[in-house]
Amino acid sequence: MKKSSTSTRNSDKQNDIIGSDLYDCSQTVSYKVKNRIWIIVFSVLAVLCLGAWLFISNISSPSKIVEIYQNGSLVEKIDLNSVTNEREITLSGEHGTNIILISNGHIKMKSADCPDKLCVKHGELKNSYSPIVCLPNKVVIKFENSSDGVDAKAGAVR
Amino acid sequence: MTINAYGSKSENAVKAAQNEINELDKLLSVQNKDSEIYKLNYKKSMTVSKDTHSLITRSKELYTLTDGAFDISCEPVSREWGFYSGLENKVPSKEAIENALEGVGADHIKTEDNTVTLDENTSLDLGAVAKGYASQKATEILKENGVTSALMSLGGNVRAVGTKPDGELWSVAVADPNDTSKSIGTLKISDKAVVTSGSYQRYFEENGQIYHHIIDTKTGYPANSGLKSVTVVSDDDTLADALSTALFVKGLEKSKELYSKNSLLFGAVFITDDNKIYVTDNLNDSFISTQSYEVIDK
Repeated sequence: MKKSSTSTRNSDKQNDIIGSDLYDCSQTVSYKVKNRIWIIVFSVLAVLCLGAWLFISNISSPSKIVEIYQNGSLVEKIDLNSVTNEREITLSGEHGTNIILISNGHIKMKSADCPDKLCVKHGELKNSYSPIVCLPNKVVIKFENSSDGVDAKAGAVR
Repeated sequence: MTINAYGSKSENAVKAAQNEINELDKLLSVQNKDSEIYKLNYKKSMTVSKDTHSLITRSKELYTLTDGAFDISCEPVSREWGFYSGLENKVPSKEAIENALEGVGADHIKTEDNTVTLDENTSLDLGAVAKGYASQKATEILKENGVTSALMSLGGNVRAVGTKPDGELWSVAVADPNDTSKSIGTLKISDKAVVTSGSYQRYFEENGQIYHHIIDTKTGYPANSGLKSVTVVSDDDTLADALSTALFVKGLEKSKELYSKNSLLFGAVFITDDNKIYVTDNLNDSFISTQSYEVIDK
């Protein structure tokens, strides 16, 4: 009983303030304008983020030729578009084995014995900007044209 | 300067390496009025730090190895050509060059315990070797701090520590002297320094003639040896830095002679004035290019 009476008093107070005071009223309007600006800012940001995400996730390699490396040497080169039957490649490394799953147009790390399993969590290979990497077992899966990637350039001072 | 290092301890290691590079730059810069080199050029004799002393001593050895093609006493000549900030680029008079050449040569530099003494007309510029020395020291620091994979870029000098984190070799492109946004090929390396000297890096034009910054101290004029650029690959950053300048000054034929005697120390990629590419045979497996090139045998 006590509790409910207190709350009633409070709400009465609020109504009084909003209803009677012009000063407060004008402040409410300015809040509304501010809110609207923030809503616009966040909407624009959200649209930009979505756009960037769609852009990046849709960049796919023009060719679907994928290279699988272990310890820095090429293990296999596959044209994903020419894969007709789903198959698995098993690689053994220091930390057990990695199983790579290949199907038409798709490649992913199906399972791995490494501790962190980041390579499995990576999912499918989508673009040349994020190769599938298993650091513990030194396995890299990437699109062919990203192998031209240069790490640094000698001589270009400026 | 960019340093990309991989591994759990890499953050502190990179900071320590960056500090070392900045400290060495303060010590060795010919333009910084607080540097030891600047003071030495003014006083002509003084006690110097271990780093300065060891780099000057090493530079004298490299002068001998390259028959004087690498020469840190080129400062008075470079000054005449205006290759320092605050000076205007100009073609000096013959007389001015002759005067500037009087103090040039490693025999004008004396090193004792901690002291370096220069002859009256001699001044030093370690610019052709300081970056190499700095990346060498930075590499040591990275390795001491447990970094096994890193790539450093110091104003056109590249240094690879170990391999990439996945065990692959690093790809270091060699800039195309005609358009540095392009490259003429790629070097696949691990644990090596890659340094390029090219006439395109700094130059000025006067009366339709191009004058670049790599001075041949035998003539006092910009080296005119038929090369556009030389890229040196070596375990030894200081050597790579000095040799890139020295081989540029020497030209292709004399560089071949130096290579046949020192093929264990370095490899090189040459680009000639007529855009031909020459690669030493010890780099044949590491150099990848879509352009044709000629291999230099030991």
